[in-house]
Amino acid sequence: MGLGLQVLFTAEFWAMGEHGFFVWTSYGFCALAFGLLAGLSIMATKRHERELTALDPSRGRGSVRARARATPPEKG
Amino acid sequence: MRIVDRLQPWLFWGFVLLLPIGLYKALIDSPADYQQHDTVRILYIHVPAAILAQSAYMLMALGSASFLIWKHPLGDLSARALAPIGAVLCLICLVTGSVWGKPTWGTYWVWDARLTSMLILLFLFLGYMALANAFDDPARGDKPAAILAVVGVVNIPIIKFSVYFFNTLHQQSTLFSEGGPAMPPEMLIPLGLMFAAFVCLFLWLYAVRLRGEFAKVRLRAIRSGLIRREVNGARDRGLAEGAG
Repeated sequence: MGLGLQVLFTAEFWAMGEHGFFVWTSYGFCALAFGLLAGLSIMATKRHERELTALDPSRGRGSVRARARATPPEKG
Repeated sequence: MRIVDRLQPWLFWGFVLLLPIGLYKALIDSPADYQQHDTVRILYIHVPAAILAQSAYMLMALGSASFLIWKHPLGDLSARALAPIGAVLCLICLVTGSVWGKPTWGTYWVWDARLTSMLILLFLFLGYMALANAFDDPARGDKPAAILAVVGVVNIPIIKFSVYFFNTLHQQSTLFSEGGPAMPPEMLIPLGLMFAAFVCLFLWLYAVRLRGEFAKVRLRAIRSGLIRREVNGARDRGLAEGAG
């Protein structure tokens, strides 16, 4: 706590000199918007790459895993 | 794509490292403004979002221009990957600016030249995305969307110079003013750190989305190849049965 981080536990810090609503709304919205964009982007990219490796296992990253999934080991 | 794959973890960890330092400097270490008090801390997300939204549009227009002139497919993929990132940055800029406007100007919104031109930029991003995805065959949307992106570039100098040409509530540039930034180092350093964190996040998101767009195009090519093979096979079978 040598960096002055104890200020995080004070009401004055969160109040931001009576402007807390404006400051935290802005930072909160920014975090939410970036979080949503990052989450949706990662999900869409993973979905496309999964479909791609399923259609053509010889291509792309993780193709070994995809090939293993596409051809399950024979039993017995 | 190999370069993108290699850079991606560096950009992510750069963002993870820079963000807490930037937030500490912006929210705890930097002083409050003598006029705007603590609301000035909105600056540390508002300004990077504004600069990067305009940069995203410029890159999108460059990609679209390269697609229109040289038919370079990467230009179109790059523009498609950038549009949602630019739209989100533009939205962040508008929302944080609006929230900052209430305690500073006494209103959330005015039809001021800077604010309106920034809103038009958001509509350009949304229009690009709508146009690029408006057709059943996505390849048909490439050209009209690219033309829209290139034509929309005219809005960028309007945003930049709106505070000089028009009588606006929005202040003039403090960062890129004549004689250097009109800002004390106590505020300039957190702004620089937050800007660097935003750049890392922007480039990381761009890399993720570019990989996704690349995979989407390859998927489309494989699927259309499979359909073509099936159609040709069916036609050959039909011919063989007819001959028999």
